[in-house]
This record gives sequence, C-alpha cells and structure tokens, in this order.
Amino acid sequence: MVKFIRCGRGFFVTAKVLFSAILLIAIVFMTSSNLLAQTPSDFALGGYGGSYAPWGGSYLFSISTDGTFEYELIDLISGDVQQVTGTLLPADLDLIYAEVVAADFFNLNSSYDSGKMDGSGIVMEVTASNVTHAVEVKNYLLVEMNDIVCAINAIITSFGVELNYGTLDCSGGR
Amino acid sequence: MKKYTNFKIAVVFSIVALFALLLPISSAIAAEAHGTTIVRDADGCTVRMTVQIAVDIATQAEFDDVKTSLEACFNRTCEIPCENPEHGHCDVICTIDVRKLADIPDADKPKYHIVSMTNDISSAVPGTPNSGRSTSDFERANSNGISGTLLHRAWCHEVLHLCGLEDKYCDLRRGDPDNIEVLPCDPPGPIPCDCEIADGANRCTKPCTGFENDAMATLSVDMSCDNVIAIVELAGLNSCPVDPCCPIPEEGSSTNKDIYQGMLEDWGTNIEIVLFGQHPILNHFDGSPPQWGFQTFEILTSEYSTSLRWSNPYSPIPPGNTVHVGWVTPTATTIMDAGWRDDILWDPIWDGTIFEIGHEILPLTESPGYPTLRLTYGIPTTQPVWITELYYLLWDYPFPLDLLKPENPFLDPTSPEFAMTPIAIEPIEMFPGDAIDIEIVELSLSGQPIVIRFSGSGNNSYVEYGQHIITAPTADVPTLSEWGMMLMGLLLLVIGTVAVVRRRRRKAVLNEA
Repeated sequence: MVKFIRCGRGFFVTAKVLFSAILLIAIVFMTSSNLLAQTPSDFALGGYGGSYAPWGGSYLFSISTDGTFEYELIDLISGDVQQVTGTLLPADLDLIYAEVVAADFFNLNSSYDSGKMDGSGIVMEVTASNVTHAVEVKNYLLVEMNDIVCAINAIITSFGVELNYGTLDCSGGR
Repeated sequence: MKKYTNFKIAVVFSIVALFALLLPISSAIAAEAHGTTIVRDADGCTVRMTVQIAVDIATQAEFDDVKTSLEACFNRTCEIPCENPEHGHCDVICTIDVRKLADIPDADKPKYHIVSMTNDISSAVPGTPNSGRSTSDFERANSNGISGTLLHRAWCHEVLHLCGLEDKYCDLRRGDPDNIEVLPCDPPGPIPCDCEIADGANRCTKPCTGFENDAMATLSVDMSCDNVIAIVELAGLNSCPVDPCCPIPEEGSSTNKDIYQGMLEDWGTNIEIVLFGQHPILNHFDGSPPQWGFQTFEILTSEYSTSLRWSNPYSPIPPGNTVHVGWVTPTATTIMDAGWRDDILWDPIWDGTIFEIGHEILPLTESPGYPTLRLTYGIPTTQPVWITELYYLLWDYPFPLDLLKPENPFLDPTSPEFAMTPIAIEPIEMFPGDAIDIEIVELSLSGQPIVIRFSGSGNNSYVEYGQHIITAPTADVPTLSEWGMMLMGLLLLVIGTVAVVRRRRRKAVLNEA
C-alpha cells in the first residue's frame, strides 16, 4: 500500500515533469508556428491612394517580399513627382502583417465607398500564403484599413513620406 | 407710480411687437423647398433654378470666400434655345443663396445643401434637383496644394455635384501588369481614358471626349451655362415651348406702324388701312399698348384694294395718343388710304386721315448686292409728309411681327442693344404720288431679312417699322406680247395661204400636162 503510494507519488511527479515539458514544448512550438504565420514568405502589398479628383496628390506604393518599399507621389496640377525607395526590416514586415491579420483583411469587402464624388481614398492589395485580396476605401472611414495604413506610416515616416487619404486618422494609435 | 406702470407696459408692448415683426422674417428665410429647386414660370418661357447652400464649420473669412466664389459661378442667366434657334429662346435664371448653417432656422435646414470645410480633397454626394438636399466637403485653401481660382473652381465643381451632375473626367492609374481605369467615361469612348501615364508618374486624368471645356472635367475652365442647362435637363425642364416662347418669324413683308390719334374731338374707335391691290394677310398685330389693343380685326377685299379694319369699341383711344398695328403680306404693299373711321358705316372722319408711307425692297439685280428701299406716298391728300430719320438692319432671321416695335431693344435707338444702322439723309419731303428709291450701301443676299425704321412727321410725328425678305429678280423668260401674238397669227395666216395657193397651182399644172 505504502509502496503503491510511493509509486503513486513518483508517478505524479514524473507526470508533472512530463506535463511541464510537453507544455513548454507546445508553447515553444506554438510561438514559433505563430511567427512563421506572421511573415509568410510571399507577404507583399501595394496599391495607390490620394486624390480621386483631377487635382490634388496621388501616390502609388508597394512593399515587396524582400522588404523593398517603393513610393511615387504626383501632384496632378503641377505635375511634380516625388519618388522614394527604401528597405523595410523583417520586423517591420512582421508588424505590418500583424495588423493585416488583426484587421482580418482577407475577409474585408473589396470596396467601401461613401458614394461621394471626388475626394480621396486608397486601394490596397495584399498577398500572403498564396492568397491575394484587394480592398478599396473611398471617402469612407474603415477602421481596419485605418489601422493598417497607420502601422505602415509609422514605419515609412523614416523615409519622409506617408500614405494619406482624407479619412485617415492616426492620432489614436494602436 | 402710474406713469411708471405705463412705461413698463409700453416697453413690454414694444418688445412683443418687435418680436412679432421679426418672427415672419426668420421663419421665411428659405426661398425654396429643396437644396436645388428648378421651376418654370407661369408664362412658360422662364426657368428659375435656385441653389441653397448652408456652410458649416468655417471661419468668417472662409465663409466669405465660399459665398463670393459660389455667387460668381451660379448667379447667371442662361438660355434654352427654341427647337429652331432662330425663333428665340427661354431664359434660365440661376441664383444661389449661401448662408451660415447657424443662421438658418431648424425648420429650414433640410432645404439647404450642407457644406463643411475640410483639409481633405473636396468631395460631394451627388444630389437630385427638386429632391431634398445633399452634402459636400470643401477643401481649405492650400490644404491640398490649390488655392485662389483653382480652389474656387473646385468648390463650384462640388456644388454642381450637389445639383446632380456627375464627373466628366476619366482616371487611369499605373498597375501591374495592366493599368487600371478607376473612373471610366460615361458613355465610354472608343478608347476610354486614352491618356498616357508619364514616366515617373502613377496616374493620368483626362476630360472625357466632348467635355474638354467642362467644369465637371477640369479645373482649367470656369463653370458655364452648359452646366446649368445640364442640371435643368435633369429636372426635365430643358425645353422652350413653341407657344408662347418661340413665335415663328414672319416671312414676306411686314409693317408695324404708329397710328396717331390726332382727331380734335372724337375718341378713336375704328382704324382702316387700305392697300392697293388684293393681298392675302398672313398675320396681323392688333395693337399695343395692351389697354388699347383692338378687339376685332377684319379684312375686306375688293377688285382693286384690300382693307384692314381694326375696331376697339369698348376702350376708345383718346386724342393725342399713339397705338401700333401691323400686318404681313407675301409681297410689299402700297398704302392707298389710312385713317380713323366712324362707328356706323366706317366712313372717314374729316380730321382722321393718317398720312402713311408705304415701303418695299426692290429685287436685287445680283446676289450679293446692294438693296434698294422704295418709299411711296399714296394717301389722297394735298399735304406732304416728312422723313427725317432712316435706319436699316440686315439680320440673320426675321423678327416676329409683334417684335417690330420700339419695345424691341435691337430696334430702339435709345437702347444700348440698338443694332440698326443709320442711313444719312437730309429731311425728305414727300407729296402724294411721290416715290423715292434709296440705295442701302451694304452687301446683302437674296433671302436675307432686312428691317427698316423711318420716322418723321406728317399730320403728326410717327415711327414705322417694316421688314422684308430680300429677293433676287426672277429670270427673264421670253414671252409674246398681245401685239406679238397678233403679228404671229397674221404671219402664220400668210404662210398658210401661200402654201395652199402654191399647192393648188402645182396640181393645176400637173393636170394640164
């Protein structure tokens, strides 16, 4: 009986150790698997934004899988063009992708349009894990797009540019 | 104490009275029921478009700038041409009412389009004429790189959206692999938005075909009447009714003349104008000013004359006044007699004769050529008539008969729009039976209308308008006169007689042989 008890104690200790080890392995595994999901190798995004009227500024932007950032801004009245190229760090891509996931971007509608004419907006196309989805926001406050663009702007501000459109509001932070 | 009480009552009464006076003003601030209201006047010939704008969230300077620029765009008069533009047009009177939102009573706010100032690119929700109101954001100066004229044009562009118009530019963006047409033209052209995206640029925009100078397509031009008419069309009022707005211009020869009531005692009731020869009357003008319009018009034709009779039994014209009457005939006419008549047998009243001059334009000898005006004085009297002023106007299309009068600004020498050309003449004295020809030194074409205006004095001062369609002489076709016919008949008789005689002789000779 005593022996049984002793064995029982040993068994529970062993089980406790084993459980802790399995839990640790699971945590480590889940964390690494999460990290893998956050930065798919084909993660890229691009699009255009700015004025929808024949005046104002309009820009084209892209972030490639290797982190290359390209940006072109044209003033539709003066014709002045501003071009910027830079490289984002993997951690930057992680942050952006985290916002994409948090916004459930791939389940957003393809268009959010207030029905206003002229004004401004943004079209963003994201590719990740062999899935591509594009969302247009025109004269419309879409919190999910707002958060993604604010995250991008927080990174590319170091290049002296930003993605801007009328309803964008990055004052709240995230 | 009582005096003090009376003073209080007076103060209270004054305040209540002031409030009562102001109340109707504040509650009647909105002129129309919608943000964009378009209605046709009762006469059918004028369309009124009223745009009501309430400005929200703006500084005083911004409000003043918005108000001034929108008024410059929208306060204008445009025209809807008649189906045949030569027959005239209807006016479209466009006005805009710009106020601060805070100054508008709550009950009237739904009748105003709402405009808010913003730092974003200007935008607007398209509205519908005669249906509620819409909203727009106006970008602030320099918030997106434009200011001054371009900014004002952008604001006007947005208000045109509020009135119902759509954009007329296309928008092409650089894409991978194909460029993306964000805003195609409607209707699309063969190649919608065929602009080229410049190297280094990511986008091009271009006015849709046919809208290159349209404020809905570009900020390079100001808003125009085309935009106003397009809005009126959305309301289904882009038409100009033929009756009464598009009177068909007169063909033939028109006369519209002053008839002076110069009788000493009688009040003028009946007028008769007698023309030499028989003439169909294509149209007639039965008098102005309105209070002396003639109630009846009658035509009497005899073998040698055509009488035009106007009667005004219920409101006779007192001595010393002038009325207008007019008529149109296929060809020019000469006046044989004219005057006031009695009420019973239409006999001439002894001092009622009107000394009138007939007029015609002689056919051109060649086209283009210089027309000749012929004036004739055929009234059976011994008194002369003086012509002191003479004008002419070569016009693109004939005026309707009822516009051949001094109230027509093109024909009124005191009007800034007076379009007639004077003919330099010394005062001309004409006696009964006289006819004079005056050459008009301006090349004109066969078929072109010409208006003449002459004035002077006879037994009264007068102004007369005439309108003729210049004609070319008909081609001369050789014809035989009566004498020619007789000579021809005689000649044929002689030839026939000779032929018969010769045949008989030949037959006799053969019989003898």
